[in-house]
Amino acid sequence: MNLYEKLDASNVVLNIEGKRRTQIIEKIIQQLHHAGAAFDEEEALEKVLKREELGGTGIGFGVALPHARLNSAEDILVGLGISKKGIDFEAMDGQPARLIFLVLAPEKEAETYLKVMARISRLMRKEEVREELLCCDIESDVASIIEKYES
Amino acid sequence: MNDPLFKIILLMVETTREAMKAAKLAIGLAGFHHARLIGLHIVDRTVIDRLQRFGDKKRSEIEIEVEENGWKYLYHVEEQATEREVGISLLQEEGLPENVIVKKAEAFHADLIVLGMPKARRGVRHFTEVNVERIIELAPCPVLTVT
Repeated sequence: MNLYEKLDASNVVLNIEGKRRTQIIEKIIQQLHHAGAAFDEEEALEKVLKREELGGTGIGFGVALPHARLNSAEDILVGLGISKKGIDFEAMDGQPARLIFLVLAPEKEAETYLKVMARISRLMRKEEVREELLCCDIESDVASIIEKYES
Repeated sequence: MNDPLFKIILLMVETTREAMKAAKLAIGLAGFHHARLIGLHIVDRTVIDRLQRFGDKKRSEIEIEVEENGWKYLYHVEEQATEREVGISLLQEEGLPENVIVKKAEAFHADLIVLGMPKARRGVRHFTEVNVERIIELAPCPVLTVT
């Protein structure tokens, strides 16, 4: 399983804007849907927000990982929103999230789902990866950056 | 109404069977007391040193494995918690477990620390040992060990 293969340019939203995390999540879900991914937008939004209600998915260092497993998803989907201002995802270190990875997975793919989230979380602890992603101004560069550090 | 007994429960997430039992118990307690759970996995570099010394893998490979497995267990615990509608935050830190857990319990004003204690810890120092006695001695709150 390679994360960079999941991060197609069409799954990336550079300079994502929104005052609340709900808006950010909604935008990334819409982007994935527009990119042609097969899943139910309403189900995704409902389940991701339900998880957020139980506490934000910020993991620190300005990174958040909203996520959910869906009945309607056929494959693991990863979207990325990069925010200039940062949005509060209730991370324990108090830092607003500037890199927001949204992960959606089919119900049956529990193991791969955990692997994908673990991979993102591990890579995002590296400052150099975060810095390169934050400097990204072309969507297609995201996959190349992830590939460089993943391999 | 009285204040809840526990508002913040700090759970040490590890890959042992006892740690998973501890997670189940911590989730139950958090649900009962409407407390917030913090799942903490600690990457202990001394363990990585030992794994490297006694194995064939490169240090970088071991580091990746340890870190990713830690996150996998954290997200696994998160799934269990959210199924019970228990709020949880996840954290991975580096350092000596006994120092990190005490420091985080202080920083987050934890009311309880929950951790699993494999049999080997009740006496002889184990390969991936955590000094539970040290945690109990220094913790700013009660410590619940699960065997």
